[in-house]
Amino acid sequence: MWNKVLVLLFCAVFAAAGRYYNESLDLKPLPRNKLLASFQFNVESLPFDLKYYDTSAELQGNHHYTYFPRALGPIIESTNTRELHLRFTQGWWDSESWGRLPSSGFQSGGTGVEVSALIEARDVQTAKANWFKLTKTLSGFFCASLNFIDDSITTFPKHAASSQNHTNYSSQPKNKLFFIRAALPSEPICTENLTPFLKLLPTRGKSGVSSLLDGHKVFDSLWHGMSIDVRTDCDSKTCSLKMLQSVNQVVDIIRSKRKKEEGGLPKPTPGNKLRCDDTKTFNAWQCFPLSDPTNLEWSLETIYGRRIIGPAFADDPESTVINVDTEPSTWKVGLSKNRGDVTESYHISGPKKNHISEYLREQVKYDFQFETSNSSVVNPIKAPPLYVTRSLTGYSQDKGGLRVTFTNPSDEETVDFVYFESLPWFMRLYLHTLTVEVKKDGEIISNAIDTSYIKDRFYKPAVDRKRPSHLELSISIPPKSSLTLTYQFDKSLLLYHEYPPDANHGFAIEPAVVTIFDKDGNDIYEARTTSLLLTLPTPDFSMPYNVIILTCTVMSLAFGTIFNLLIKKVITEEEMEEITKSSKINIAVAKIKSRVQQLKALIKPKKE
Amino acid sequence: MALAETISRKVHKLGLVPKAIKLLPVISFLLAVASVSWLLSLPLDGNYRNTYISENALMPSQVTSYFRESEWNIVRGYRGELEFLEQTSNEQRNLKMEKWLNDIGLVTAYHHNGFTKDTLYAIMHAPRGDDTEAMVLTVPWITSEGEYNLGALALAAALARYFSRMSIWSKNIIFVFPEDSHAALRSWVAAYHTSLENTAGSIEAAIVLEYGKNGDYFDYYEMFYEGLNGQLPNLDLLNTANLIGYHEGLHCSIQGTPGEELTKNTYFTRLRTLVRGIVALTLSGLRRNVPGCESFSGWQIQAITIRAKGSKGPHDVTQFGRVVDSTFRSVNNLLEKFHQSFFFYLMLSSKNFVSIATYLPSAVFLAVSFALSSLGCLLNSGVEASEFVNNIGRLLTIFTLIELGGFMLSLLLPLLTINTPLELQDEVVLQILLVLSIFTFILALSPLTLKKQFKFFKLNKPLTFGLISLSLFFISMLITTLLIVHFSLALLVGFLSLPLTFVQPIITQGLREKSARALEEDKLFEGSKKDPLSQIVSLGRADKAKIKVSLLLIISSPFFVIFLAGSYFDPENGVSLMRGLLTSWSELQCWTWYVVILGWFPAWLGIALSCVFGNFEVDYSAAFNDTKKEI
Repeated sequence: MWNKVLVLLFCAVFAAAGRYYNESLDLKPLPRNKLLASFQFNVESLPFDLKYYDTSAELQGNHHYTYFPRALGPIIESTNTRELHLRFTQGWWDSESWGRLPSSGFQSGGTGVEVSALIEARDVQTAKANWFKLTKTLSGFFCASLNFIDDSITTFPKHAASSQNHTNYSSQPKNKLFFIRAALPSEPICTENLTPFLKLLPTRGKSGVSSLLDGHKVFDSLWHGMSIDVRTDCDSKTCSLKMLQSVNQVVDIIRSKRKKEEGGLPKPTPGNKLRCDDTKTFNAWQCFPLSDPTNLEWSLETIYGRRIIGPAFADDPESTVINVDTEPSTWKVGLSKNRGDVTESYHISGPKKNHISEYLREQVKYDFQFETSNSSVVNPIKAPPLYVTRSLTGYSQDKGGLRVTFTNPSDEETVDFVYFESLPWFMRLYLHTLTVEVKKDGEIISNAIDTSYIKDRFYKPAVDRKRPSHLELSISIPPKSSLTLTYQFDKSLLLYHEYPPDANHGFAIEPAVVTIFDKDGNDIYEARTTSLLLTLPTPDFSMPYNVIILTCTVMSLAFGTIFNLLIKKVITEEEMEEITKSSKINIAVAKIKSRVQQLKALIKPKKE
Repeated sequence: MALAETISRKVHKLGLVPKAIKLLPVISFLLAVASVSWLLSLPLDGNYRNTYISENALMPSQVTSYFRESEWNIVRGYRGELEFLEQTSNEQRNLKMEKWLNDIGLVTAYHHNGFTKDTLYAIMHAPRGDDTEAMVLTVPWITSEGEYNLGALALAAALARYFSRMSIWSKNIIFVFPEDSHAALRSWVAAYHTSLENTAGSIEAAIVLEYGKNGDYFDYYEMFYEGLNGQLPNLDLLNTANLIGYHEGLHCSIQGTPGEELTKNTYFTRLRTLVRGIVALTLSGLRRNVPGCESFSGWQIQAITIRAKGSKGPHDVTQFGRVVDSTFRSVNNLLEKFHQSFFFYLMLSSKNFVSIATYLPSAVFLAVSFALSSLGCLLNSGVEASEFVNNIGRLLTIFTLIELGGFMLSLLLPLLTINTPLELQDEVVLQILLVLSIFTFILALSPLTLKKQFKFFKLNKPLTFGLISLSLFFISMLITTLLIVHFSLALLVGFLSLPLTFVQPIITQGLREKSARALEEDKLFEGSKKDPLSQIVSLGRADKAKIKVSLLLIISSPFFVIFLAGSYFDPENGVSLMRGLLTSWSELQCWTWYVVILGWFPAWLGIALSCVFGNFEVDYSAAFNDTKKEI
């Protein structure tokens, strides 16, 4: 799941600077008054002598990590993790409007939490043991439900593992490298995940660009992703751990502005502030609304409610850099430095400067001001190489279907990619129902499962409660075409205790991953579908009690009858009537009857 | 056990069993009466309940809706523009609306259904949402009453703009603009779950909005909730919308309660709502002017339709919008599917309901009534059990043939209708209905007109009684099966075919009297010539039974009822109900037609055939003795 672009980025950053820490904030206005803010933090540990830790051996924490978080280092070393990728993502990326994902999608997971690791081990068992150890430790560390990762959702991606060779780490003889992955799509991402994230930084969020990161603001975005990537980089003798942390988010500028100016409530606009279309009927009662204003002024403080506190490290003037991507004809970017009482502002944008880089060198509070005459004019948005949507089909409680549509927007280029999908075991996938439909300009050009479209298939069926089904398809789509896959599945009944204790709105199905390769087989882009909500047949949980009660009733009836038969004497009706005559009740009744007769006899003469 | 023993001995001693068998038709009738009385007792105080919000997460009316003040100007602004679109084509309207929605920032797409105009829909992806759940606001361009849906369209555009400014959404919101709320909407819903590329997760709730050209004000609003095939939306959704309306000071009308009676809550208003609700649920999807909410049936989507009524009233259009806004915010709170509260209920007013446990006995009584009369037909036939057993093969063959005929009809007639061009459909349906009605009448009247029964084909006695009994039992089973799934249909089919239970007792009684009389007359005029006068009298008496039977057969015939009901509900076009029946499966997947043609019709046909071809002869002397005893 790693790519050369990022490797190059790593190399460039580290080689050029030779530094152990640097950070950057990339700001890129998007159409419709949105802003993509991308925070990147690079940390590197001191070189050390990397050893393979056997379970029996004691961890020898005898080296310094310097900037690298001390909390994370030993976890990674003790589990023989050579690479670790953690993704916390929430929201829907509007690729039609926002284009490609930041960092070509390599930092963006699907909805929820995603974790993958490259683990060095003698065999699979050891690798798995280390993997669970790693996820359980990280669970406590990041306040995420990573401890729920077990065999039933863990996969060993095949294609991703083969493109894994970017680490120049080679395992020790006898050892192998295992690439393991799991995702928790229903995990909500919240402040509790951000706080430990910031704690990993050497600045602890107190200075540099990380001082902007406030939970309230980060999570009031349209889409956001946090990622942590740790890699082991070795030269001939020593190795060092390199970590890239990132926070990417898309912010609605209009909403941020309104929140700052009017407060959080979506109160109606006062009549005199309505923006009406005066080419249409427009009076005190009627107003055809104009779309959002495009001449805006805002600053980082509008969005984050804070300013950047100096560079990350005062002694390192090149540790913090801000990059702004704006269209110079319509955007003006200003920088203000606040030294206690004095604020100094100046423009940093210039004509024909599409890209501005500004190092923060002074120990002051920085703010970036943006002024635009037409916010809809932004630097060109690059379309992603592939659009992918996935949805559930069908309506029944016991079966359903999946439908995935890939669209290649390119005019000339064929797109080659691997579609990776891991489905929980309670979706019983039927691969024989797989259908393919290739459309070009709305007309179906093929619906055969053809090797010219689906080049390779890898499928590992699920084992109940042990293993998810794991599907990887190597697909190639010609230009201007779309390919639709459909397949059917059955929904399983779970065991009594496997249902969530409360009523639920369904089981989240993890997003599928699409990795796009160029002609040389290098991965160039990665995208994910949205997660899905699967409704499983849920039994009426009061039913066992009904069954118990009914069974008991039937059994007691049967018992009563048999018991009666066993202990009672069988006689004829006449015999019974004879016997009952001498029963106490009957004698009593007879007595009463005779008394009544006597009384009647007494009364009758009187009447006469 | 001892008590049961004692009772059974007493029953045996007193000879209650044969007496009860004699009285089976009466008991059966009493049960049918009990069924009706049960239904009539539901609106009595103490038998119904007040509605309440069962799911706490909904929290209706707990937030202030800010869809007010200047939003009204915006609604008017959109309405002003929409007025120009009334005369334009569907494509132009959609293009305009699409542009507005795109300006707001919504993703739009079209659904091409292939048989009518395209459906525009727009998705508002919830900020930071996981894109797995959605709520739908449907605004057809033309209301179910054939009016241009001006107010609702303006509201939808203004609401879309208002919704997109809020960051509180956890579920996506989909705006759908079908041409009408009938097949176009249904095909969109179906496509959403099968073939649409732009989707936004599973739909939890849907609101269909109707607000014609009422201007800025309305008097009260009407709510529709019937789904297809007896399905109803979760009661919580109805209550949520109603409670919100109540807090807005709006009156809600259900089942066509007129505006001036909305504040009334008496036994008779409740009864009226109840009866209308049962009829409406039975007919849902069969009429052309459907409110639209039934299109969402079958995909576990809770859907309601709300329609603004009147134009003078104290309430303004933004209040109508606030109902939608607050309802969506309530649904937005849900962390689970709608699962609390009730899925099976009958409304007595917008604030009162009866749940399934309370109303179910009514249909149960009816089913038992049919079962008993079926049993009575067997036991009072005077035919030995062994004879029935001997004829059971033939009986089943005949009934299977009848069923097969029904099956052929059930497939052929809809096919015939669908494959004719739209403008000729009414004609074809009329012809179908005519042919079927004529067939019905001929069959029903033939016991009356035919002097002598058919010689070439005659059912023997066990077969005759067996067929009637089986048919009655079939209806009983039909009611039992549908009881929970589609209570209203089960109940109505039961009530309408109730006359069939009287057929056999009346024929038997008639024949008995006739033969008894004949015997007596024989004895009176022994040796001498029969008096022609008395012969005529006796013939007339016997014919009375025949007339009764013919009448019973006619009023319980499915096609006669369809024709009557169709003319009642749509006086201008009496065949619309039949057409609805024939096309509703292919258009809306509503299976009422199959219940009628595979359930009710074969049972009716079975009894009608046995009346025409059957042999009801009663043992002369036994009958005479019986009559003598009675005399």
